[in-house]
Amino acid sequence: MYKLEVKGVTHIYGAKTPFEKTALSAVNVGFEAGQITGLIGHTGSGKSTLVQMLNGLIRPQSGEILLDGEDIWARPKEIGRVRTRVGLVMQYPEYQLFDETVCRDVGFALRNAGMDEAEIDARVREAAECVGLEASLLDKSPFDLSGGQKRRAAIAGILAMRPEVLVLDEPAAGLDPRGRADVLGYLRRYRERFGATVILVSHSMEDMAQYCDRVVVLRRGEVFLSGRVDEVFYRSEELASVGLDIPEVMKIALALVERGVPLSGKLYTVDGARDAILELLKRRGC
Amino acid sequence: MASHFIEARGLGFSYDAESESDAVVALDDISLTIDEGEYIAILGHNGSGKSTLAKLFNLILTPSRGELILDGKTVTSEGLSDDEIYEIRKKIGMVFQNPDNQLVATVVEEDVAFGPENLGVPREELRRRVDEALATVGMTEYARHAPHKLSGGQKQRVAIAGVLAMMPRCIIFDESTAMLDPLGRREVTDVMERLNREQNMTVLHITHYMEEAARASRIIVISDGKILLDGTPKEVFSSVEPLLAAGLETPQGTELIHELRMLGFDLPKGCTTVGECTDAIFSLFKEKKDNNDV
Repeated sequence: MYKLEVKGVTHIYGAKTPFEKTALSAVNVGFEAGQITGLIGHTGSGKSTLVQMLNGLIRPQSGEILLDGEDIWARPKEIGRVRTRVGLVMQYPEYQLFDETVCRDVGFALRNAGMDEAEIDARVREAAECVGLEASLLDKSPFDLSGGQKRRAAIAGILAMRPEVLVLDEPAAGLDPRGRADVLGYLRRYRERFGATVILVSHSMEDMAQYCDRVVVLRRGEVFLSGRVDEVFYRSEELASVGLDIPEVMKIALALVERGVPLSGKLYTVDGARDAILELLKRRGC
Repeated sequence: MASHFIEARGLGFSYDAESESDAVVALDDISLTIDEGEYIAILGHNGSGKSTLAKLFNLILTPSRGELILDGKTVTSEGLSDDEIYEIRKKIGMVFQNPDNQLVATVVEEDVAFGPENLGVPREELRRRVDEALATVGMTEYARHAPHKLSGGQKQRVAIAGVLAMMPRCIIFDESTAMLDPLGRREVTDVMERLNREQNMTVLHITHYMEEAARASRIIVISDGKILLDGTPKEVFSSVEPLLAAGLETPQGTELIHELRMLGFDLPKGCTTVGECTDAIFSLFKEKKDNNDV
């Protein structure tokens, strides 16, 4: 059974008006427990609509969203509980920081949920640690942090709820390479520590290759490709047909294959390609 | 010898420079020259000072120390008069990161006309400039559309057209591709390259994407307010260790070759493109084959 499943979901904006636009059309996607699934698609692919459905911000016009096999809209009045179990980190989440201190901001949702202060404090510290935010920053105003620190504080605000499913829309956008690696690395660690299911929306095929177990490609409101990272990336021609590019290192590896160098393995990451080259050289050298 | 288009001599900038205790040094002792028609990528980690440098070139900020010579006009900490600043900004335009923050009008062509209209450009000339600018960025058919309904890449191209209508000689792109999807990024970088090639526009492209930087003819790397590296993509990406230490990376192919070199394989430094890297690695296998034949 999937941890979170999208079943036969269709959604049309402005139905029966001249502005009618089908955002999602009979979409079926399953997200397996404890895995990191990447979600890719161009502007207009229906990605944002889908993401907002996963934690009940948008109610599908038809079809179901199943969390642990239960329709999240079975009891609409309790949809708030779904939002603590499925945490959504929106794009540029640092724009949503607002409270007086980082500590209060990160604990905001917990306080709203009526948790007692001692527990909130422990959870806030744990979440801050998860994203590598030093304890000394917790008493500062969020507006005095650097861009990268703000981003991590905003993500910590979601992690503090300890969501079972974590959905992130471009969590590394606009960060420098080290900042990207840091943020994506923290997500991986959160997954490992709490066994969480992670859904990562990104435009970067390199990040997908490096951090995801599975990939779902959306195109014009439909699932175009879906599978393990290697399965999807080896269909480079289909990816290219929707304007997506395989990672550069994989292009090099495939060019070598074409020239008669039989490389195999995880050619879509630098480490994987390096190991494949070493392996083959070793075999040839013998 | 003709003078440089942009020249910095011991240029420095501090935020909150009035109160010495709180002053944050963003740029320190920067000296460089940029000639007309260059296509330069500027790399640096978040907070390295690269955006500060761009804002100095466009006089959004005034230098704290040193001199900046923009098309023959010297700027010091004294600053310039408003009229002089506007003269410079006509020559050196800027496109920012967030496409939604820089469009002001409700119709695309009115947005493009906004700058020159404020300069008092006569009507026929204005019409011509707007049409040309939209044609250059490939947005002519959207002239009467509403900007908020465009995609990110299209919005950025409208923003570029708005700068082009001012007829600048240099455009600074301050992470103008950061918020775009891959298609949008390609649209914007294609426009940059075309402007540089066809109109001899000086292009300064600040970016976190190494593959984009590799397309420029020169790369300047800023780290902690200083120039760390300055050279061709080949030269800069040969310096893998300093780049990594500065929180940056290299194109993936360069990284792969670097790792193989570290393991003792004899490969050339500074390969950046897929073709170069493929050829270099292929040579390893060819040699082995030849040896086997012997």
